Amino acid sequence: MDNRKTDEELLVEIGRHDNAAVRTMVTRKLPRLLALAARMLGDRNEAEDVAQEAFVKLWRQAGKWQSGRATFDTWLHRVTLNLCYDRLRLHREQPVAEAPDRPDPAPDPEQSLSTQDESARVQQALASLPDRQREAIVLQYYQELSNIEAAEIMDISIEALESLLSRARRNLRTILEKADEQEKAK
Amino acid sequence: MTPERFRELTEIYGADMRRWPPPAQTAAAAFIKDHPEVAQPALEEAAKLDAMLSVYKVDMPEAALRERIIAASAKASSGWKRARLWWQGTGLAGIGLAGAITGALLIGVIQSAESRGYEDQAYAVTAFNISDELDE
Repeated sequence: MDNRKTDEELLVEIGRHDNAAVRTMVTRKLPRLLALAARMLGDRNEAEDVAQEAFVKLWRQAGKWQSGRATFDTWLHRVTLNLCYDRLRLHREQPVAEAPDRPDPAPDPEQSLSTQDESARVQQALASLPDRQREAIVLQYYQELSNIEAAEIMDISIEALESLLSRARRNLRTILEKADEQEKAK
Repeated sequence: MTPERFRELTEIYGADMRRWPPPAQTAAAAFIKDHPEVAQPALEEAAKLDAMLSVYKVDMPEAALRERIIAASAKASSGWKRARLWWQGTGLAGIGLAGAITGALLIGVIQSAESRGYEDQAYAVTAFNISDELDE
């Protein structure tokens, strides 16, 4: 695996059906794409499906990639988010009665129970945010993108992004504090 | 930087300055030094939320998922090859068909020209330049 190659160089090689380049790209991008989809959807299985679909789009576009317009990472984030929004829309039209098969994150035996609880609480709080607020905080906080990159992916101004982030953090604080109070009252 | 803007930035980007827009970082560092009584409470408040958010981790992808995605690339690749072969086949068939149609049209035109006693030979002039044959 050649980690020195840029994304654009790998894309050229993937366009020529180079299997080593495919492997490097998957190793490099999959963890971040999966994390993005998991936090947007709150469901591990669906996030894995989205990641697979995003890569299929990548394989189809690789040979046609033109550098100089959007960065590849921006494009890949946008593709993944569009796939997430397709599923979120579908859920609104066809509400799922049953709980997801496998909640995210999967319990780690070494994690303490309280950490698992806290993680699940944050996951729920994030899920209860309006979609655009969740998207903003996932891109800026969890994906660690700059405000310029996040605004570009969301196709909004920096001011609009800052407004979404501010509201997202305020809402998260309120939700998590309330959950904390309820937990203490038990 | 004003105290209002500093508080606003902590509410937007959190307590970790590395997440702030680079142009604001220098001004913010100076503000913290000059106004710790305003800066510290705002940073502590933001840090509490950052700490809560950081607990939510997503597990790394499993090897099986990685292999499924890589296998899908091979399928997409064979799909491209099949599509290319199909288009090439279609192209060849199209060329053959176009030749047959052109031939049929030419025969029609020649017969028509003969029946009209070569009155309008210009119709029979094609890219294959058969006008000489008609003049015979």
